[in-house]
Amino acid sequence: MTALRLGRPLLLLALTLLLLAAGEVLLPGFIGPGQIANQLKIASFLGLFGLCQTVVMAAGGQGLDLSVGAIATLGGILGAALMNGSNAMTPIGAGVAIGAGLAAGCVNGVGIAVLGVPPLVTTLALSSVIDGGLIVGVSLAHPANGASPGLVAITGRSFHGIPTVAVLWAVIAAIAIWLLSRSAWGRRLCRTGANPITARLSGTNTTQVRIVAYMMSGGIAAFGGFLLTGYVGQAFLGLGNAYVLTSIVVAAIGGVALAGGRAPYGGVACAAILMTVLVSLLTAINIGESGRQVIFGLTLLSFLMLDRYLMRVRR
Amino acid sequence: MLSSPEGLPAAPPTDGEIAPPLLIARGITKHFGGVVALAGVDLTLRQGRVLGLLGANGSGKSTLSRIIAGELSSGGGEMHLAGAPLRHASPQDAARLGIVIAHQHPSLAPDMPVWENVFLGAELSYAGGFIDRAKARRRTTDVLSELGSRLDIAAPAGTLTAAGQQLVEIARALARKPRVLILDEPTAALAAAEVGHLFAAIRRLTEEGVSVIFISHRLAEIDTICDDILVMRNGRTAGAWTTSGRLDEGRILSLMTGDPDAVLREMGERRIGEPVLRLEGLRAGPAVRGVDLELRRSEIVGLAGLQGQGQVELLEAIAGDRRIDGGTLWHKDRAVSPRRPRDMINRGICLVPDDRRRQGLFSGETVGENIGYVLLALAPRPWRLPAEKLVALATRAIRRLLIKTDGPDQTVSALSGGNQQKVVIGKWLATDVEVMLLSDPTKGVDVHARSEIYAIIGELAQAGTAALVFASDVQELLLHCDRILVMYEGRIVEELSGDAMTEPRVMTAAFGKAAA
Amino acid sequence: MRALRYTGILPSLLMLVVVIALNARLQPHFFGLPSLEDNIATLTPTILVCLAQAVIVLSGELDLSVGAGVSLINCLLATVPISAVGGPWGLMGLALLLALALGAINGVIVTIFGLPSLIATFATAAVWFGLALALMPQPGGELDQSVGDLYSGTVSGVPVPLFIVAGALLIWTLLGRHRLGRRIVAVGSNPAAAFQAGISVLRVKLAAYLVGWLLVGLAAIAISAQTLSGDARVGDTYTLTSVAAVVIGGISLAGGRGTPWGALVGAIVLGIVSNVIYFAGIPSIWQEFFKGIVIMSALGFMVLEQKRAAVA
Repeated sequence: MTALRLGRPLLLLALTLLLLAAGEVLLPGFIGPGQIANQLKIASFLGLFGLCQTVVMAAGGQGLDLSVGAIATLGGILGAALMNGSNAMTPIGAGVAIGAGLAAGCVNGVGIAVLGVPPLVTTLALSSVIDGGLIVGVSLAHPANGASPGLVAITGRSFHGIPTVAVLWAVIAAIAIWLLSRSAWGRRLCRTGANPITARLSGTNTTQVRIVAYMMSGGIAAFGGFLLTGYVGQAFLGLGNAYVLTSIVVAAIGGVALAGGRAPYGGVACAAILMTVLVSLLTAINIGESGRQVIFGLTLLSFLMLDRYLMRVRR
Repeated sequence: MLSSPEGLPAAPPTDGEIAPPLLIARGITKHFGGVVALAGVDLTLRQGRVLGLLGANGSGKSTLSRIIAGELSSGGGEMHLAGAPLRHASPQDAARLGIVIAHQHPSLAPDMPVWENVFLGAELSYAGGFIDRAKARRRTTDVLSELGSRLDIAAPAGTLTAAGQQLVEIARALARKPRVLILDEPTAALAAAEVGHLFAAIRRLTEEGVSVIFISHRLAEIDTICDDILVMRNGRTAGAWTTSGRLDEGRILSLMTGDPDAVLREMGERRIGEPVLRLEGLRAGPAVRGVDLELRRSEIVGLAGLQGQGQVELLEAIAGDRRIDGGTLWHKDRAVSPRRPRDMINRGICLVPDDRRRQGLFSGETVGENIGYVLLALAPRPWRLPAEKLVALATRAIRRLLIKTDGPDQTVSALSGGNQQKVVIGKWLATDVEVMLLSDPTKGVDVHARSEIYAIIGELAQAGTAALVFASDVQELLLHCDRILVMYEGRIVEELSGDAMTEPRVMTAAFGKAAA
Repeated sequence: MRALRYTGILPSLLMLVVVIALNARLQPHFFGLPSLEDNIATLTPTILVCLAQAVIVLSGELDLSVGAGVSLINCLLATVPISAVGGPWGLMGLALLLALALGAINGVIVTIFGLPSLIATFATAAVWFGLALALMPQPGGELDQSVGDLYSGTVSGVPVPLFIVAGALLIWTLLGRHRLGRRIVAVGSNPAAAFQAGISVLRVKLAAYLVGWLLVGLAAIAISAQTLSGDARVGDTYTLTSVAAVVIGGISLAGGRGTPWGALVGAIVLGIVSNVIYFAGIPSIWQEFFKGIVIMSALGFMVLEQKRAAVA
């Protein structure tokens, strides 16, 4: 089991190194400290949203969260509004953003685990409500939308060459990996996804587990949106949109099964790095969006087939 | 050689003449993994007659009929139909030869209307594939009215009662115009009037030359409708004869159960304590219709009876996995209304479920992970992994329960059925179990592992746990239980203990007969 | 009425009546011919894509690449010179051919390779979109006027778009009376029972994808005839709209339950809701929010209705 768990991250890292090498060959200077740092920053955000999908997919039942984009935007806008440009208010902004994300995730969770609405439908519906509500709120209240200088500094700064955002991500990733693979709760989450019947008969409150999973997704997404506000400098509508699809791709490539039962966040983190490097390589060698999209799709398909093959072999 | 079902002989032979054999099976064997389901069965089905197929749970009657119907391949032996060798590879092949089975548990498309379910896969169509709806509807109505049913043929199959679905399943078989019709427990869900119509329809079919294999545990029905009888036991033919006059129930029961004197009761030294679980008039869905029972500490109580009489559902209801509609459940002195299994587990009442692969194990995980799951589910500090406790638990369980495995890191699906079952039981060592409910724990388990499992139950009982065990093998219950409760149609119809615990008495009660 | 109850279309019809009434109230001359013709012409591609999704969902699968497929076909049509394919009919034939090819690819990936349709079609959507972008990096290109003329014409007095929709519904009605159509529903309703009855689940699902994509091809033709140009993003909104329409139309995402008429109703409801919100004079900033709430309520209502019907 351990061998299999390391296999995917190592494969992805190897591919990343391959891409970096190819990039260096095609465009000398591709691997520069500034470049690497930049890519790490971008990968950090993708990695955070990938964590959202990891948690809800692990919980099973065809779980996925299409509302991460909207919740991220919500977190960013609320956070900016409360910060109002003041450093002192930054923690409060963060807290409220995360709180809003938890609440939104709770709505998702109740709809899915209690009412039995398919996750695709629930999260889609919630995202359109949040998006619409934000349009209204922003137009009526005209909230402050700038990030506080403190936040900008944090997200922009580097720590001995390593961007702070990346450090933050690494910390969250470490906690996530620990929680998912080395805690009782993480086991409950994964088993609920693998076989909810057995989990239930063995004493797990599967409804509660799934609600908490969606709450976590919401909270992390909102926090991601809050950080994005700092990175970009301000909050705006549509802040999180791009991350919805890419977070799902990253989770799938990282080895998370849509059917549930596994939460290999190490693989997902590596997938986030891989995809970021891939995008920047493609951009650097002037492959337009069309080529990128096709390569995205084919990469995802390849990994899905790989997973299918491994599943057959395991039997 | 074997033509369409239309080529049937004219008049059936009457009683007194010996009807020619239509279907002959010799020496049929079948294995499922390490378990022997059929050990060499012989069956002769005569033209235009009804053959009753009888046997206790696990005797192999369903397996045999599924092999005849082409759903399973046989492991050995041969079959002949109308003199020619019978070799079919699928139910469709069998249907083309005129062999059709109506299953015990209908598998219907719930959203499609009755008449479409009846012709699913064999739709009546014009050239080009367009469905002749009028014809299909008419035929469906005809077949159903032959069965005395006035079901709404446009109703989606999922809205029907169990009886309705059973009738649709039978109608589906009849609509194929079979020459060999196999009915597997067709009357389980039907009411008396419907059974009467079914029998009239069977009579009409046999007059037209159709041959029927009728599987049932209701002796009265076998008496009414069957011309010949085949009794199976342990995957073999125990006896076969032609009925004449009244059915010899005693003879049938003794053939089904084997030697009634050979029971060596294993009784350990156990002191039975105060009551720990009590049920008063418990009702849960259509399967559990009012059960009273009491369970005491250190007691091992067996739940006996034929399959499908509500035993599995009763255990699920006590465990909190099935909604209780009426009656009361008492744990010690308190009435309990569980909403989920966790509620009962918190009280020390746990379930070893009926389907270990689907409900008791995480098939893709290791032995250690499976054994440790209850510990994790109940862990008070969920952010930690009690790693040392898990290792200790796994080691303890493997050693104490004699689980044959390469170690805690072996994938649980690689273990034999018996050892998998031990893993399912083993995970409960993590907590104090006051009442352990076991639902057919030895199903699909080899003989050696069976006795080991009962030894485990005995040890747990010795330490104070009360055990309520449903087993389809009566011998096991006789051997290991202090008391046996026999269930029939959702109720406890008999309680046996001491010298009264004998196989004939259990079987009699299992068939719904009053004690002699 | 009985048929309506079982397919759960009654609630959707109710919704349809309500929104049409609202729209008629709010928009002057809603029932006037020019307004109706306009509405029908714009709604046709949406309706066709929703019908396509309905077929695939009924078989128990999903296709999140229909929108990108429309874009790709549209871009191809805008790129290929009409003379190369022999006129407008040749162009339409090409569109259908490509649509079938895309549908076959999706179908094979889901059935033979056994990948879960939700994520697999997610992936193919990216591929179709990328290819569309390759053909048409910027909106542009040109379709010959002849195609547009055909589309804005009439067939025995019936406007062509309406004719196309009617044609699609006719195809589906015929399919519903054909063995294949019923097997599609059976496979979605209980694949195990269908398999036991001797039905090849794989082949039926593949057929569902092919039939669905035929409709996607028609939708692409319709939108191309209207815009007479190519745009790689033209189909973006169709995917999620088709999923929403399917749910609003009473079709279960699990498969087996519902009729494509439901998708039709769902598509019209969604289309008219936009109109209603616009004409209600709701300030534009609130419009998105309202739309979201309406969609959420409709979806929630439909799913709860399905659960209620399932338990009954």
